[in-house]
Amino acid sequence: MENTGGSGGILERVVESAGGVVLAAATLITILQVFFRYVLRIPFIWSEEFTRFLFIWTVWFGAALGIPRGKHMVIKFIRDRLPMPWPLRIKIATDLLALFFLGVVVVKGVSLVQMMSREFYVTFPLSVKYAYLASVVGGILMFFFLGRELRSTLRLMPRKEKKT
Amino acid sequence: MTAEVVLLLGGMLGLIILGMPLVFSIGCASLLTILVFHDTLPLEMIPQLMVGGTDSFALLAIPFFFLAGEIMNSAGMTERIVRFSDGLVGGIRGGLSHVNVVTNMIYAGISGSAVADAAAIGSFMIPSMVRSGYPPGFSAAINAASATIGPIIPPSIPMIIYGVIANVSVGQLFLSGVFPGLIMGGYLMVTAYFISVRRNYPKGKFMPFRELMRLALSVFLAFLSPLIIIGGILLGVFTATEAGAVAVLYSILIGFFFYRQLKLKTLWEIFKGTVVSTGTVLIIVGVSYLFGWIIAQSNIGNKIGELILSISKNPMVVLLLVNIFFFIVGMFMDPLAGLIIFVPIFLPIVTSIGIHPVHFGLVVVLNLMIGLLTPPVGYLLYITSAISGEKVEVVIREVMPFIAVLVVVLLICTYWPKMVMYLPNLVGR
Repeated sequence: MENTGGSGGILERVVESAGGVVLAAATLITILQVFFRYVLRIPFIWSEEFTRFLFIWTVWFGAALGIPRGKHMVIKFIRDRLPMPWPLRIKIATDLLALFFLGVVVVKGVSLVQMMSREFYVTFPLSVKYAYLASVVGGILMFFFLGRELRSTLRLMPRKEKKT
Repeated sequence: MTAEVVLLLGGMLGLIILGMPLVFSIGCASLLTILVFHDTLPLEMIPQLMVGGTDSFALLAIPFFFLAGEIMNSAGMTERIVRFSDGLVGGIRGGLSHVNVVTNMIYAGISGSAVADAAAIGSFMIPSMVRSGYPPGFSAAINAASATIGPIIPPSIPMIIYGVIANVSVGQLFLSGVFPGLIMGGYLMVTAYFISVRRNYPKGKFMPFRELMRLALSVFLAFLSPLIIIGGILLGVFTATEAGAVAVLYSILIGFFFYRQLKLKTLWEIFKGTVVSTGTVLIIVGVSYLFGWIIAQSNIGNKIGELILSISKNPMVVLLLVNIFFFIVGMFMDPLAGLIIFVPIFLPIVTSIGIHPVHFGLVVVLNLMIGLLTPPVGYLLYITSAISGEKVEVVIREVMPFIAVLVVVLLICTYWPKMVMYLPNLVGR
């Protein structure tokens, strides 16, 4: 699967960098957590909860990027052995089903974010809704990337010849 | 209940076979089951369980071990390990197949993922084996089989997930894999040797002792990594997740200051790449919690428990039945999804008849790793087949003897709990 460039390419790079920063922050905080607790004897109370929060965002950024990068685990060899255009037809059908699932994740994720707006983390002043927001942002990104892939697949479908 | 389980499991399997990515196969099968059989349930539970399933500090260890492995790889550690293994076992008949196994065993101490190991070592070893006259199918098969050692010798990503589900010490779980991992390596080498003798595969030369020692010093730092991880956990200095972060720091320091092959730009690329590998693995964990929740609601766990205990209450018989079940699960399901969905069902059954949860964890993880070699959902077969350029059917045929010996190792681990539990019992909880 190739990076198609354009706006999608820029978006991928932005998401990738955001994910890299979040993961680097989680790594640094965890290393400092050990150093401060074991060497300086000053334990952090917020670090575990905060790195969990960062981790959730890492997962959803990474899951979204997995679509254009073709990194999601998939068994294609059975589908790809079918005669054309069946592999394309099946891919279109499964992509549409996946888009439906992602639509539910996004719509219900928005509702969940609203429901959680009054819940707060214990050790730092942030609403839990921002953790659940990762499913909305990640879901939208996955929807966009998968939709783009579906468009490319549709273009590969052989067109019926016009009758003269 | 039966129709619900058929839709859930059959739907997931059908979608996987149709080439839908695993995360969507599990998610869509779960969503359809909820819409058909639980239409009164609020669908907000879908994003809630998917986020909640990954909201764990222990799971953060997974990207850290991915990072440590990638950094070590970029620092040139893989090539050094291969050279050392070549010097150590390359002179035996079928030399490069043994090098493949030993490299995987050493690399297992840095990484904790079979899939990552198969790709990292395979991209290096398989072309090298093919150039030296080994058939591509055999090269792919030995690499795939050896990669299953990755999550058995500590650290181990599936064991971290099992530790979270079963609420057992990850340190003890890590230790339980040391002897089984070594036995797996030994058995795979013996099997590769007999195949190599029969097919007259080439052999290299043993390295002079002095040169081998020089290479040993250069890979010594790789051996130190699992010692730091396990030692730190067992001495109570840090948790498994913190051990992962310390392993990242350790590999960065080695890469920059000892091997001097790591660049800042490369490090940034590794962090960005790890986001993708973390996301694609952990989103399956998240969606599997949704799937597992539906399984729990369907009461199928109790039914399976009653069925197994009605056959026998003998721990050895129960373990055999559970092994057969997980072997079948491994054929059709991703190991992490299999752990999350089925361990909560079987753990109460096996602990009720006196089986230690750490022993059970090792048996299940090993079983599911063998599942990575069995079609139709045997990822290692597809990864190594793609690297070698050989058809999957050929790789499947070539991997069969290795699956057979790994099943023997599984039975040894199942029925020799003292061996598995020797190291975990030394340190206690």
